[in-house]
Amino acid sequence: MTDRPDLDHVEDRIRQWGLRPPATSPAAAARQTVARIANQGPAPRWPRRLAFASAAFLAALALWLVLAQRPRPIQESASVDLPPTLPENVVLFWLDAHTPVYFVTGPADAVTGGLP
Amino acid sequence: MSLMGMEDDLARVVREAQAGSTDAFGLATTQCWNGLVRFARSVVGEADAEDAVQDALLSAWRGLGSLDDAAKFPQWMTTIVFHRCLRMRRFWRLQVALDGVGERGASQDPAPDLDVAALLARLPPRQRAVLHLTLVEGMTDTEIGRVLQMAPGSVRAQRRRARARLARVLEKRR
Repeated sequence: MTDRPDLDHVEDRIRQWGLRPPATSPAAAARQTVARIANQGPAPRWPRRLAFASAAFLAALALWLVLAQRPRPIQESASVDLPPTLPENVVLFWLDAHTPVYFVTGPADAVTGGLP
Repeated sequence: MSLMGMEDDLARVVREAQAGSTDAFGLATTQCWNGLVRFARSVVGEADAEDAVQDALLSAWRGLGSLDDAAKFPQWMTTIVFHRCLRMRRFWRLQVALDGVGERGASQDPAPDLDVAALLARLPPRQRAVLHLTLVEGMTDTEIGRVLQMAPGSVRAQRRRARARLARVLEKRR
């Protein structure tokens, strides 16, 4: 309540006005609501399907990126003819599957490296 | 039934509705209808109140699974009705002068010496909502805050502004 008689009167009137029952009875409103629900059918499923498809696509993309970044093992260099055993002063590096690089070590004063 | 007058059977009915029973949802509608329409009438006006509540009920049916506590169905529904009313208000921008023709349906006012509908139309929707929930439903500031999604201090501020505005309008009428 307030200290203004006019305002008190108005608030009483707002209370009376607000408590009037609706024109439509609760039972009739319930029937209308159920009928509208039946008419509109089930809730649309496309948002859930779209979300599922997006999640699956992102998961597949992430998996592909992870696999693409993993270092691949050097394949068997079957196409390159190698000696069955290397001498002790030769070290072999593979730049890729088809490119062997031989390092031949030798004495510090050797002019031709380790090659005979 | 009051908006806040929750009963156990309503919570049970709402849980049945959440399980997919439209009949149960109809029963919940029966129990909440009067309070929701009374609230909507204060916010959006006599003519559009029932449409606002019907639309809100359809939205509620679609989102019923998101209601965690079935006992809070009346408050949850009131919040949905309030947002629905705000959208309607934004669309129509209803503004009725106190001495003007009044709102549609205002003639149903049983005591025509004061056009309450026209008087409420002078207030912004949030102030009407706060005034209604305070005066008609007898809710506390905390309860109103939960329904209208604002702090109790904001509820008090809205009510204070509403009363000041009504007082100014009454002053002008003299």
